[in-house]
Amino acid sequence: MRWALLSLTLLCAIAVADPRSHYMIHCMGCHLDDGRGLPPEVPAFDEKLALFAGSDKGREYLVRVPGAAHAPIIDAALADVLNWIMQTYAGEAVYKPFLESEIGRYRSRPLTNPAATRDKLLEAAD
Amino acid sequence: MKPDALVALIDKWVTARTVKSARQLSRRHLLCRLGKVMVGIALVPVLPVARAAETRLQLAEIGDPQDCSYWRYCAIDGYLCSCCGGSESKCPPGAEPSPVTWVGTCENPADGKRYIISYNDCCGKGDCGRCFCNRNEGDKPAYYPPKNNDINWCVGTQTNAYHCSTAVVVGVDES
Repeated sequence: MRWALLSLTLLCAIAVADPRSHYMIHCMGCHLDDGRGLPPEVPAFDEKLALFAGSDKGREYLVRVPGAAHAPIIDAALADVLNWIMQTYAGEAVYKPFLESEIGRYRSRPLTNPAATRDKLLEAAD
Repeated sequence: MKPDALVALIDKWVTARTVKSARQLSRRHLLCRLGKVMVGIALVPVLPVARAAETRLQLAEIGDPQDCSYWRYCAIDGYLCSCCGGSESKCPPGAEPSPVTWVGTCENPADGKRYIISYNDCCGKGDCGRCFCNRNEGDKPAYYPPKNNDINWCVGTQTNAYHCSTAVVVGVDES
């Protein structure tokens, strides 16, 4: 019992705050502390996130946007940040969490025209 | 089940458990102490003190905000707003803070912790020209714009005229 409690406490300590710090250091400068961004140059983190996370093409977009793809953090950390952004800004959306393997597959090819890709995805969803 | 009945059930269960543990455990038992500690930790965020600290960090700081060697300026590139009629975290009157910023991290010598610093530029007036400070910890080349401090961050403001830079502490770096 003691050991179970102790390990549970340790696990909780390891799991805290990491993605939020990464969000603040690598994303917040442009997307701002509440995710509202500066549209149209910097898209807001809003309910559209759930729309993107619901399709393969949309997920690819979220990982390949330059800010995400170029962030100087490892794939697992980027997956954590994306999941944190989903939980924090996408509302009550049910979504499939991003995994490290999925990040690795997409981020090696950053988008050259992210705004056009975004418009195309939103048009297709209409 | 009615909510009242459920509450009564929980009450009964908690009472039974409390009485039972009081009978079985000595006052010095580890579980008793551990339980108190855990409840204590869980209650801390409920206290008003903790909630205030979340929005406004209680910082121990040393050094002069009008001096380039001040710890928060470890990644700054520009005129210090504290020499231009503002402060290390506020724009001078008549200048507008840029919402979009470059974010870095600096170690606070007073407590040895790393903090996340937002270098919001103040815009809408000409160059302040006082206390130029250029320290580039963590700065990346200009082909890597989100991590570069040479570019003009006066974006999303009325005009993009650059006046001076602030260094706002926005959190503890736990990455």
